[in-house]
Order: sequence, then structure tokens, then C-alpha cells
Amino acid sequence: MAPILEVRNLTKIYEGGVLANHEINFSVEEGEIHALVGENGAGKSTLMKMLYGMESVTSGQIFIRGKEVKFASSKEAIAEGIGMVHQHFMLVDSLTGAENMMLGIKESRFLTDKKDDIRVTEEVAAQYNFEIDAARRVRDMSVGMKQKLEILKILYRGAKILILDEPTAVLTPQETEELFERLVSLKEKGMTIIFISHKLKEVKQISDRITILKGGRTGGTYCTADVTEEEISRLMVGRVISNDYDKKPLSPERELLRVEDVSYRDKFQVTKLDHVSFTLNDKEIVGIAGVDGNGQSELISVITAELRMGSGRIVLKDCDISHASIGKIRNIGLSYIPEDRMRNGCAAPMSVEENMIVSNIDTFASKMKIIDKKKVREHSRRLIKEFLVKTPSERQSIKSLSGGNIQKAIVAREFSAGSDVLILDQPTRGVDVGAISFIHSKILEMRENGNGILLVSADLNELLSLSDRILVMHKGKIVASLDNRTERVSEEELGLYMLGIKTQEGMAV
Amino acid sequence: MREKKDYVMKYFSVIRILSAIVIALLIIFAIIFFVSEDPLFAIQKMVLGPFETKRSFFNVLERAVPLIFSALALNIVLRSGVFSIAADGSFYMGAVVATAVAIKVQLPNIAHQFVLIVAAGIIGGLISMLPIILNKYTKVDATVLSIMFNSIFYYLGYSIVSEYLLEKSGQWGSAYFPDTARLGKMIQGTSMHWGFLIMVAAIVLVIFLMEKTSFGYKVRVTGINPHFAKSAGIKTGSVILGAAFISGIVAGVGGAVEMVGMYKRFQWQTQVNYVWDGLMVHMLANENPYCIPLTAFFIAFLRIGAEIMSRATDLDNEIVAFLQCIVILLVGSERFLHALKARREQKAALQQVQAATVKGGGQNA
Repeated sequence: MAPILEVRNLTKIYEGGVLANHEINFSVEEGEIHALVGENGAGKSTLMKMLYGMESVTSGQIFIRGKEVKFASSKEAIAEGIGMVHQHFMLVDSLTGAENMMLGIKESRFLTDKKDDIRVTEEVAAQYNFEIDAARRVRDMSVGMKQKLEILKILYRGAKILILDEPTAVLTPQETEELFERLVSLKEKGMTIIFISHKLKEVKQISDRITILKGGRTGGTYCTADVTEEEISRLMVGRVISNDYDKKPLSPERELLRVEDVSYRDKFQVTKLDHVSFTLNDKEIVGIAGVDGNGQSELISVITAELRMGSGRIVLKDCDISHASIGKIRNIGLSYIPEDRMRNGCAAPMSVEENMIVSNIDTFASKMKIIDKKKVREHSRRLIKEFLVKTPSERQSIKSLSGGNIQKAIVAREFSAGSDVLILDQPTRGVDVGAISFIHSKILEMRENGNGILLVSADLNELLSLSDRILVMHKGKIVASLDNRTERVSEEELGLYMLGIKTQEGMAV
Repeated sequence: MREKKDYVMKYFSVIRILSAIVIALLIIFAIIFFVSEDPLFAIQKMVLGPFETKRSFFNVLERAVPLIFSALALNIVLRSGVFSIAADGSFYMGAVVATAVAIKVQLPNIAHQFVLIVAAGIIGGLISMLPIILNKYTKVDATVLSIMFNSIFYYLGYSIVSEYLLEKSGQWGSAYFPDTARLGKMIQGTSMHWGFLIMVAAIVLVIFLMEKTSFGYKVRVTGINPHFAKSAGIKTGSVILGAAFISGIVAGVGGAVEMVGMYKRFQWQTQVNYVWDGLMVHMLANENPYCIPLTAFFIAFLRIGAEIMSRATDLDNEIVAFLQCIVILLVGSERFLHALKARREQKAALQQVQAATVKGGGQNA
């Protein structure tokens, strides 16, 4: 019997000549969970987008049940029984679960019947044993419930092949477990699941077979039972990645950043930060853990002056910066790697060189404000070499580099600015494994150089392997401060604090 | 990386603009063949007319002067990411201020021109800042504001001239400028004036400002990605305001130079609309200030060519408007010649992979 999905010699070249997929071959059998792993930039997302009709195919063929298909849009892919759950949910926040289910499906009827919609949604949910509150608005749902709704949505549209793009990235360990149970039961019902992930442990746990992508090509398909995590990792990058870093014990000497009783409410008057206080010293890395949306990004925005706090005080190196401008804060000694590197971290069409001087442009200009081109060139060439940024030349536009190399260039700029405090917001999100370990080693190097580092990350492994202390945020409060110096905090314990099940004594007021 | 340089890719934007111009010219020639009794003569007049006499050749150069001032002004403000065309108001008011200083103030030669140009520049700069400031406090779109202000300043300027500067007898217009206020002839036998040199200086200054200084760098970063500029500590508000001010200065000086260089008295009864021509020059130059003189001369050449043609034949010079429309349409449309680029890029990408494989398993992580 022909496999349910087969891809032959699929090639995709993006505008700008970026070769994302090169002659990809792989096939998926009906009723299996097929994992697709690879470093970021290996071409996983591109491949999936082509399967889902979101990107055009440059050359090559896609077969479904032995029949060649050509998708002009995702509508056609859905008609062939392919459904995709994106990493960023495609839901309308202000509508209820049931309304989201029905969006785009309902034919002929002009008026909607809310009760009926809810009934149908609950029926579908019951059929697959998914618990969701169909009458609740999406914006009030937990991330786990939103994801279940997304999966139900594509099941309701008749999908037989489910593509899940890094579904666990936004979930807590407990939610991940629940998702896996559901996926296994879907498999038993005859669904085929393509599971994209970075996290090898999960891949090992859930999948039947694994296809590895490397540099835009297929690196082979394996039965999960036959390969170990180390082998997968070696096939992906060509070397074994260890997340156990050799961290020198250092004792902090002075305080660099103090956050005192900071509160912030957003424009809807929802409290996002609730009397947050902590200090950051030199020679230490303080990690901030929390489920997405519990105030971490607001905390970073308040410290970096992107948002103005409601009440409280922030002191950077003995200067009150509560009302200082971003430029002034940077001058006093704070560098910042933003979460969204394309939006806040670089000017995409400008060259690598021009991107590397932006935050300290005035130090490259003479008294007459004329830019010293020679100095700029030397500076950027040195950084490119030191931070292993793979680029044909410093004059290449930064958008033509891979995600990992763009991030390395941004890290190079921020780390070389000479600031004492470094704020890192998801410094390795969506970056390939090679770049991750390089960035981690640089972060540790900065720690040894005496910098104070505040690290926000959704990757618990990253937090646990780098941080000296971990602060856990829940609903805008710091609910726990855990010492990670001598003994590693366990992932399970962290999960309990993140979900708000446990609160450290004396933290919640 | 690649051994052989791909010239098509390197000069792609130039090729794109040139082919747009060629296509537009062909369409115009086709239209001329349709409507004219003697099409070959008309085309000959249009293309070669500007070269026939010394006077008409210099007409092209002096026609380019206001285009270049407008395009430079737009280049600064548009690259800061704000689509404001307040340069039009600055240009018109620059001419009005120059007229006022020329008539009402008495100064010796050189000092007089200097004072009136500086005054026009400052007023022009202030005018161009208005839409930006109002946008900050009212959140009304800066483009809409700038267009509204252009009308306001046109009527304001018109009223000022009518009320205070008018020569009562004859046609509507201001009093005649004294000789101390006018920019004299640079080349005898033509209407080429010394404003041409001021224009050259403006080109050099704007290129220097935008490409070589930290201010220009901040303007460009702000225009490309304001979020990034902000989080890098650039005060985007002041950068945009500064860009608007300098843009207005350039436009105001342009208005003054045009007025005292080309005319004996103020006679602009309608909006002059150099800003739209300037916009086209800026677009054709691919936002690159180095190319602005070239594209401005090209547009000026077409204008003069069309005027010569319409004097010599039965055709109207408005035919050039067709040409401009087609060129802007093609240059502005993203998909024009897109397939050519995509094919080249794909070929290059595949070659690169093959080269890497031959070298022995290179990977592009």
C-alpha cells in the first residue's frame, strides 16, 4: 500500500535566493506519529508550509495516498485531509471557542445559532475526549486549552493528517503530558500525526519514526526505537550537544540592578506586574521562569523603559532609572537582547555591519558626527570573527543570514557594548543547536567577566543549566526564588511553581 | 563567494528602472504614431529637440533645479519612515518669503540673496515640522496632514502676496525684484542662473548628511525599523522631527532659488506641485540620493522635449504625463521583472550548494 504522504525531491528557494529545502525525500505511513527534527534553519517549517499549501513548491512532487497533489492554497490542503496547528495559534481572541470552531466552515446560513455551535463543539470535543469550554472566549483560555481547540478545529474540518509545529514550546511539563496522551489516542483512532520539535526527549517519547532534516536536506528516516537521543542529536548537528556546562562558582560583590515594588497595569487595567521586587548582582545569572503571559515580558519592558511602570522604582548601578529614556539607560550600562529579533533586534535590509553599530553609533562618529567607516569596518569584522557569524561579508544584508546567525550578530552587538547588566529575553528561541551552545558559552563568559545577567526563557533546560538563581513568575508576582547554584532545581518542581500550584513561603503577600 | 560576478543581480534595480523607461517610451512612440500626422518628425523633435540649441539644452538643466530640490527634500523625510509631502508647502512658502525679503528689505548684492535664501530655508523647515508635531499630539495621519497643510500654505502665501507685495497695475503678480535680490545669469545667452551652483551644493550636503553622518544613519534606521531604532536607544521622535526640519529647509531654499533665479516677480497663481515631480525623481532614483541628479535631468529632458515637440507639431505636451504614469506604475509595482530575479536567484542558490558539496560536505547551518 502506498504511504499516506510522500514527498519526492522537494526543493524550495525563497526570494533572495535562500535555499530552504533541497531535494527532500520522506514518507509517512498511515496511523503513525512521525517526528520531524532538525536544527532551526534546517527547513522544517518550510517543508510543512509546502505540505499545507502556504508556500509554493519550486520543484519536486507531493503524493497523498499515491496520488500527486499540487496545492495552491491551504484550503486545497485541508480538502485533502491535511491540517496544521501552527506554533502561534490562529484563533480569534475575542470570539468563543465554539465561534472559532465554526469560523469559515459554516455554509449557506447567514444567522448563527450560538447554542447549536456550542453543542456541536462539545460533541466533537467529547468524541475525541478533549476537555474544552466551548462557551468561553479564547482570550480567557489557558494556552493548553487554546491548543486543544486548534487541534479540534482541524479535526472538525476532516483532517486525517495532523501537522503540529512545535506544539510543546508554549506548554508546561504537565500540559505537555496531557497533550501527548491525547495524541496517542488520536493515533489509535487512525489519525496520522507529523510532529515537529526541537526537544529530543519528547520526540523519543512520542514518535514511531523520525525523519531528520539537516541544512535543508533529509538526513534519513529512523525507527524511534532504534536510535538514542544522542544519536539523533549527532545526526542533526554532527556532534553531541551537552547542556551541562562547566560553571565556575563565583561570588557576587556588588549590586547592579534593583527592582523595588514595581507594579504595572496594561491599557485594559489588567494587573500585569504585582509588586515585583528583586535584585541582580554582578557575576551572576538570574533566570526568570513562568508560563508565557505571566508578566515576564512586561517586566523586561519596564526595565528596558519600553513601558512605564505604574508604581515602584528601578535602580541601575545606583542611578534611579524609573523615568530615564532608553538611550540614557543604555548609556548607564544596560544592554538588551529582545525576544523578537526581526522586530526589535535588527533592521532587516541593512547590512550586518550597519546592524552592529546601531546601539553605540555615536562612539563611531567624530565630533562633527561623521561616521568613521574604517572604525566601523574593523569593529564589525572583529565581532563577526569572534562570534562566528556566518556571512559572506560584513556588507551582506542581515536578513539573508539564517536565524541563528542573525541572533549571533545581535548578541555580538549587545555583548560588545560594554554594559554591566545584560537583559536577555529568549536569547536562543528559534536558533539552531550549534548557535545555542555558542550563545550559552558567551553568556557564561560574560558572567565570569563580572556582568549581571537577567535571563528570561521559555526553555526550562536553558534556565536550569545557566542560572545561579531562578525567579518564578505567576500572575504578575514572583512566587518563588530558587537557588540553582549548588544543586539543580528539578524541572517538576519548577513546573509546580509556574502553574501556581505551589508558592514559596514568604513570597506571596 | 561566487567566482563570477552576476551583473544582472548586482544592477538589478538599475535594469528594472531602465526597462520601465524603455517600455514607457515605446508606448509613447506608439501613441504618437497613432495620433500624429508626421510621427517621425514629432519623435525627432521630442528626443533631439533639447540638444538642438544651446538655449534649449540649458532649459533642461534649469528645469531640473526645482525637481532636484524637491526630490532631495523628500529623500530625507521619506527615508525617516514618514510619508509627508509637506515639502510642497515649504517650497511655495520659500518662494513667498524670498519675494517678501527681496521687495521689502534693502541690502547690498550677495548679502540680499543670502538673507532671503536663509529666511526661506528656516520658514520652509518650520512648515515641514508642522505635520509631524500635529501627528504626535492628534494621531492624525501625517500624510493627510501634510497635504492639508500644503493647501493652507498655498492660500496663505497667495494672500500674503496679494495683500502686501502686489504690483497694482497689469497682470496679477508681485512688484519686480531689485537686482540685488536676483541670482544673475551664469551663462550668457541662456536663462541659466547661479542657483545651479546652490543646487550642486545642496546635493553634496544631502548626500553627505544621509550617507556619511550618524544623523543620517539614525534617520535610515528609524525609517527601516522604528521599533528596533527605539529599543537601540535612538530617540526616534526627535530624529523624525529633525529630518522633517532639514527636508523643509531644502525645499524652502529650493523655492527661493527658483523664484529669484528664474523670475523677475512672483507670479505663481496656482499650486506649483513640484513635489509630485520630486516624488517621481526620488522613486526613479531608487531612494538613492546619488542618483537623484541623473533622474531629475531625465525628467527635465522629457518635459523640455515635449514642449519643443508641441511647439513644432500638432501634439500636446501633456503626452509626457502618459510616460510618467507608465514609468511610475512599472517602477512601483513589485512584480515587474520579478520572475527574472527569482530565476537568477534560484540558479545561484543551486550552484552554491553544488559547489559546497564538491568541496566536501559543506553545510549551511
